[in-house]
Parts: sequence; structure tokens; C-alpha cells
Amino acid sequence: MCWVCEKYGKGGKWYLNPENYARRLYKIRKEGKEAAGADADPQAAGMGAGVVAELVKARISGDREWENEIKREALEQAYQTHFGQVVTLDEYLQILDTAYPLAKMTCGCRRVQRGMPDEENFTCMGIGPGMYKWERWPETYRGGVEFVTPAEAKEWAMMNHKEGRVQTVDVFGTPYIGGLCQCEYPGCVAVRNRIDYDFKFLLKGHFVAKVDREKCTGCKSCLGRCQFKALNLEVYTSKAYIDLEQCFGCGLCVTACPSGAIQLLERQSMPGLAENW
Amino acid sequence: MDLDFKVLQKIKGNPSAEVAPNRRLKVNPGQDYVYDMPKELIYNVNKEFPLENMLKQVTDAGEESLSIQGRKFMTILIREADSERFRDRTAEMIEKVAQQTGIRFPHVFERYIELGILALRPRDAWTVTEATTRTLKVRSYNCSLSKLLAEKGVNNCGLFCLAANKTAAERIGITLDITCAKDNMGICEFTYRPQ
Repeated sequence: MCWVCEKYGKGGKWYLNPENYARRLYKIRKEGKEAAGADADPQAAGMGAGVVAELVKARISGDREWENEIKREALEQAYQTHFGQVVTLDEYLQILDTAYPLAKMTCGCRRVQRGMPDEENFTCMGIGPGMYKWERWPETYRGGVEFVTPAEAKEWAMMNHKEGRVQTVDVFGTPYIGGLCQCEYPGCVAVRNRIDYDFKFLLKGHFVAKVDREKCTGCKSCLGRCQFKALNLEVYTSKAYIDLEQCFGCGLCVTACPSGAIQLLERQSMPGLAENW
Repeated sequence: MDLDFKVLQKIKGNPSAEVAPNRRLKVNPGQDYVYDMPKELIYNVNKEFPLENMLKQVTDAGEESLSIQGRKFMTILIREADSERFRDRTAEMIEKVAQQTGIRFPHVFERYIELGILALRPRDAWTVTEATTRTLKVRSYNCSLSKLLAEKGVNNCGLFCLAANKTAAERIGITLDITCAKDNMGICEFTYRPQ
């Protein structure tokens, strides 16, 4: 179990615990600015985007201590407010039965990083009672929202998975999960900051992928699917090779393999990886 | 992983396409909305349903009258909460989403339950511990209404909430299985499941 499960999982995986998706719809209205909806923008924390400029400076300077200090402080705050974890498609589909309402929305990362037009960018999902108040944050939801049923959401999640997006849960005030992302490197701020700067706003998932070398035909279908630079083709054997240290357990390679040669195994079942989040 | 290559190959479609015509909601630039429960709603409900009167009636007429009082309270609450004066943007959006998706549980129902708690015992601690399309759980800590009733020698306080809950369910046209679990630490959790 990861530290979030230990704290909020009630004996299971924290993101499958319904309590972490449930919140009150109402509170007593406050006066003044707050009543007009001036609460913090749910995406303002930005998975490390706010401190990455400073981090780049620290890295260029070569001062590792400074870099680590920036990360430590930013993560301390992030783990109380806004961070994410990779989940598999199966888990994602389970979550779509655990949270409600479900609203397709545009991805802020892809909009900023890749200049995606809103109408082609409905790859994120806002979930839970906070979505009834989506109009309070017009910039975040400027592409609009589309409320869907769990069945519609599952179909949509599978389309995204097929298109090669990593699926994650996102916390907005720990342990409340208010978003389900589907993104890719380098568009996704969380994935990119983890890969490029080892900034752990995005935790690895509870699984790792392993190749059955007998079944692998070397067709290369899986190679382009890995967003975490964990998958390669072994030059001597022409078989897929997964660096388990680098694998986030998203399962994108599993569903791309026509010969069923890749399987997901529980991270906890491998002592060397059990604490590698 | 249960899902494999073959399953994924059958999936077609563009995730950014609208799932149904006119489903997509857009921001209305410059439009301000009000959210949350106005204090005036509490005042109005309490004016028509003073707690002291209720306690007196229950003391005089016995525990059976708790159900009558629960129904009366929720009827008043729903009328006021749905009035033009007190209907906030959350209520409008909950209804819009219910119309678009055809799913009215949990939130159309939950709204009345939450507003009922806030109107009757605004200082109490309570939370929602599960809210899916199959189950709703609302947990109260050290319920002040229960304490007041106990002071009057009335211990079956759940009758009041049960009647109020059923009235809310009837209002939205859903039949629910409702159970209540209380412990001796002051925690009371209602569980609602559509039949």
C-alpha cells in the first residue's frame, strides 16, 4: 500500500474508497466576496507548475540542495491539497461507479502546453458535488462541461485509453478526489514534471507491467504507448523490455499488445518496488 | 487487467465529441450566481416550524407524533427550498444534470436532506460519507436534535428523520430503503438505497 492508502484507504486502495469522493452539497452561505464564489480555483495548484520555473533555475545552477528544498516544500503542500496517482483502466471504470456527478471537461494542461482548441480537448473529467458549481471558475471551465451517465463515461474513458492517455485520479483538498485526468507526455504537467524533474506530484500506480518473453512477437505495438520512458525493444532479441523501476503501471502497453504478452502485477508483490511510488 | 487488446479494438469514437446533442453546457460570461444555503431560509423554516413547539408536541403526544412532525418539517423545508427566493444555482444545476442524464439519485434527494439538517441544526457536525448512484450515506456526530429529544425523555429520535427522509423521497418520486445505524459514541449514519 502507498502512504495515501495507509491514511485514507480503510484497508483498501484509497481511490476505491467511496468516502474520498463524497462531500456535502451545501453549507450556509457566507457574506461578501465568498458568497459570489471567490473560493480558490480548483486547478490553481497546477501539479507543480507554480514552482517549476524556480526548479529549473536551481537545476541549471547545479545546486542539488536548493532543488531538493524546492521539491520538499512544494510536495509537503501538494500532498495536503493537490496531487495525483496513476490508475489502470479497470480501476478507472470502477471509480466511474463510485463518484457522481461525472462531467467531461477540457484539459487545462493540453490547452496550455499544446494549444489544443477546446472542442478537441474534452479529455478530463470533473467528478463529485463540486461540479454542480463549475460556473464559479469560468477560466478553468471555459470550454464548457458535459454531464454524463456512468455508462457514457466508461465508453468515453475507453476511447481515451485507446488513444493512449494515462489515466489518473486527482485530489483537490486531500483526500477528496475531484478529478480524473487522461493525459500524455509532454502535454500533461503532472506527467512531465515527474519524468523531467522527478517531481512527485504524480504518484506511481499500484501495478507494474511485465513482459512474457515467450509470447512477445516483437511487433512494437506497445512502444509508442509508454508515456514514462519505461518501454524499449531489446536489440539483441527484438522483444519488448520494461524497466520496472520506471514503470508507472498505467497498463497502456497491456491493452496495445495483440498477443497478450504483457501483464500487470501488484507493485507490492515485488520487494524492490514496493516503496517505489 | 480484465480489459485487453480485443476489447479495446471494438471501441470507436472521438472522446471530444458531444455524447448527445445539446448536452454541452457553456459558461455565460458576466453572469454571477449565488450558491449555498441562505440564512433567511433557516429563519423562514424555523418561523413556521419552531423547534420548541415540536418538542412540546412530541412530549405531550408521545413518540408516535415524531413521524408527523418529521413529515411536516420536510414539507415546509421543500416548499421553501424550492421557492424562487431560495433556490440557488446548485439546485438549478442538480436539476439540469438530472434532466440530462435521467439520474435523480443521489443528489436531487440529497439536497433536501442536507438543507433539512442545516435548517434544523445548523451548528452540528455532519458529513456525507458515500454518494453514488446506488448508495447515499449521511453521518451525523452528536446530533443536537437527538440530545434535545432525549432530555425530554424521547429516545426514538430516528422516527423524525425517517419520516422527513421518506417525504423527501416521495417528493422526487423514488422509493428508498432507508436504514439508520447509531452507536454509543454519538455517531448516527443514515443509509439510503433506491429499491
